[in-house]
Amino acid sequence: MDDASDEALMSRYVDGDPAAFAELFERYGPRLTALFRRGLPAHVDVSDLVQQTFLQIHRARHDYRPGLPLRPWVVTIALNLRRKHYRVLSRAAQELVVDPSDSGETERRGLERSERAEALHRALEELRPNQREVLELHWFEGLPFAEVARVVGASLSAVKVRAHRAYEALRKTLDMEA
Amino acid sequence: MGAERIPGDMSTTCCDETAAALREGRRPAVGDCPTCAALVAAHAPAPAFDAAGGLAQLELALAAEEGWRGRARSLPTWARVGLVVGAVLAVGALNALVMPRPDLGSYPTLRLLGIVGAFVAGAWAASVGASWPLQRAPLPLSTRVGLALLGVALPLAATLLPEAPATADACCPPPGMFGQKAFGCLIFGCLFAAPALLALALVARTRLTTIEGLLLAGVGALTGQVALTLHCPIVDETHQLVGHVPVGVLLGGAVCGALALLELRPR
Repeated sequence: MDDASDEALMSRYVDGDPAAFAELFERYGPRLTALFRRGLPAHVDVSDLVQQTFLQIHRARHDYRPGLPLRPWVVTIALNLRRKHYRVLSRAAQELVVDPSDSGETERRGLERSERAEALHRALEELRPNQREVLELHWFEGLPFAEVARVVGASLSAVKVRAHRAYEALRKTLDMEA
Repeated sequence: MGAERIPGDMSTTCCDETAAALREGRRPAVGDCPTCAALVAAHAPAPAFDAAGGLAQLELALAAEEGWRGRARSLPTWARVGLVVGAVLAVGALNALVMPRPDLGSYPTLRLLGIVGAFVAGAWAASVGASWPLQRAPLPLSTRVGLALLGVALPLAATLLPEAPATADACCPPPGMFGQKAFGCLIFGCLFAAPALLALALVARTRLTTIEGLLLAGVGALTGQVALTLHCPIVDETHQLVGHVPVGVLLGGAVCGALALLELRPR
């Protein structure tokens, strides 16, 4: 296990060190798998999308500026690929609703899925994609709002408004459920 | 992560702890907080990740990137755009030096440079849009559509400019040959779009979407216009509207048709 930062590993890869890329693959693979799994139907082979993401990182390596935070860079590539893939699925008129029962429901570490949780899940599904994306990047990817703004190509205030509206929509659903 | 509070945010520090626990694979303690419940409801633990198998597959894919095509795709974005603009300029140079319009010496130089310059600048802008890298947030749809439409809008604007002062070498289509000349220009413009289209296809890093295909057609159309402007001496407005301007429409249709056919092929 290499202790170097993600950015240092990427710089080493750009300079021609393949071991650094393998280390990045091990670090980012599980996180990207989760990111693709969250946003796509269960039948989609997310490992293929993880591969594609790394292939794109390889192709874009000479665009990488040393010192630039790597995580938003990688997440942006993955999100763009996910959007593209979603459009392809959409054109193929396949079922796009992510079935929660296929999303690792049985592995939810013993957390009982209550009716309320089902309602919340539906509420999250019903959020506008750009609102859901902001919540996802902030909560699940742990990106601060400034970085979320860079990833989605919106201003910081627009991102905060989207998050606020998403919370409002969730709150409304909860009130209705109550 | 220290999540930031935003106006109306119904989360509290418990949400930070819940999100951190989920990210780290720990079991969160969920109380009555609705946001915590939403986080847990939305969270799916990461499926098993086969690092060794994935890496082996990735190495195969990277090995396939060793060729000249792979190297072209891996060029920095400024170089990829430069390659496309180079193709546009090469088409311009070929037409200006090898088969220039007969009135090149008498046509107002500034006007000609202005029109060709606008086409080259448009082709540059559209190729930036077509080569937009995946590691950047996508351009808004309206911007991409606007850039793609340059392939028709700029030639139309050039056609509708006040007429250039008549020169001895300028000409109109001979009587009875209007259709033939217009069709000839349409084909000529499409053929000279090829170098830019090939350059863009060569440096494309992903399979093209429809809008990227239209951007590609826009670049091709403007390249064709550079060739036509430097080659065709017919200043008649109707000839240009029928023979020059539709190059972009024809290319757009061809590219969309090709993409639709590719879509039908098994991946």
